[in-house]
Amino acid sequence: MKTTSAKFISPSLVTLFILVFMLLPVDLWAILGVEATAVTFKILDATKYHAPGMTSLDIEVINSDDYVVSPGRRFNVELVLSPDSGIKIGQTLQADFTGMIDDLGSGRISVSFDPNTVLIIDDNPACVEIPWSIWEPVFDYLPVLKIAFILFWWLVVIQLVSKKGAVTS
Amino acid sequence: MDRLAGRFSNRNRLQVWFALIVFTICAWWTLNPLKFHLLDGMSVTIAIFTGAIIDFRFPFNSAAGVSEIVFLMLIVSLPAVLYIYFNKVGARYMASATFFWFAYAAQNCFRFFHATIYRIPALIMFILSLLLLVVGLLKCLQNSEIDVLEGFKDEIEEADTDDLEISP
Repeated sequence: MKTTSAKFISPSLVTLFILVFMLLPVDLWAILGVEATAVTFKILDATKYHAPGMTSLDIEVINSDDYVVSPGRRFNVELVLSPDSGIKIGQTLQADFTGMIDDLGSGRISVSFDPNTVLIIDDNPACVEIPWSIWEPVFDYLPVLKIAFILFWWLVVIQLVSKKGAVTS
Repeated sequence: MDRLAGRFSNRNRLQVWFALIVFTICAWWTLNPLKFHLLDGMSVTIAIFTGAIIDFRFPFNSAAGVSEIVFLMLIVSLPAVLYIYFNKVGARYMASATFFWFAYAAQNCFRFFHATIYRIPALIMFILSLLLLVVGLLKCLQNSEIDVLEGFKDEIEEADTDDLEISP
């Protein structure tokens, strides 16, 4: 007895699927990916963190040809800086940016650059060293503080609606 | 403090519980402002509907875009419209619950300022969103029905009448 074979699984169709799955991330990257070369930017503010050894930089783009990383746009960049990088708050720098649009709905963008390729364009005496974060010790307690905020208002409501303290007429 | 304790002891417990649960969920979302909020779905819907009229530049959160601010204003104005409507029809509890939506509107302002690295306005908006949550909770308590039986008076009367009809 001859059994029917699944003819729809043809080799050409399988090849097509493989190609689609290979090309799909490339297409997505073309939509979501951001690559900007020789971007001039200013460091507005910065903070260093002990735990992950990261530095958080608030930057404003001054000059760029890219559509997404455009002049006037501000970004927060988190990266590991070497102790002798010489990067200070207030400096004007130049670097090649890579990044991606995280969320198509809100258009949230995250960008980064290689700290080793950064050029310091302008460094003046007004520039200041990057300070250590004063809030870092609190970060571990953030979930507890959040729960405490909610519980505090639960207690307030329980007090307000309790029949114990109610004034009886 | 003694004067405040038991001030709302005669309020409808169902409404009190509802306000507390909504407050808890909204507070958790507001305390994690960059993550999911249920009303985000509403914002996306607004964006889809108004996108046909207003030309939103892509991506939305540019530092110098007017259309992004128009979009933000739309999200902020929606609870204001609801608040006016609920007050107009006399639904005071629902009008109070709209404050949780106002908190979400402030959270959106926080997200906007956070994305564009304006720290002080972002902090102000975060504190405002928390404040609006608390105001929403307290207003919900204040505007809850005084007696639990009052809210279902018609239904209770109806049920009593039904019982009378059934009994010989």
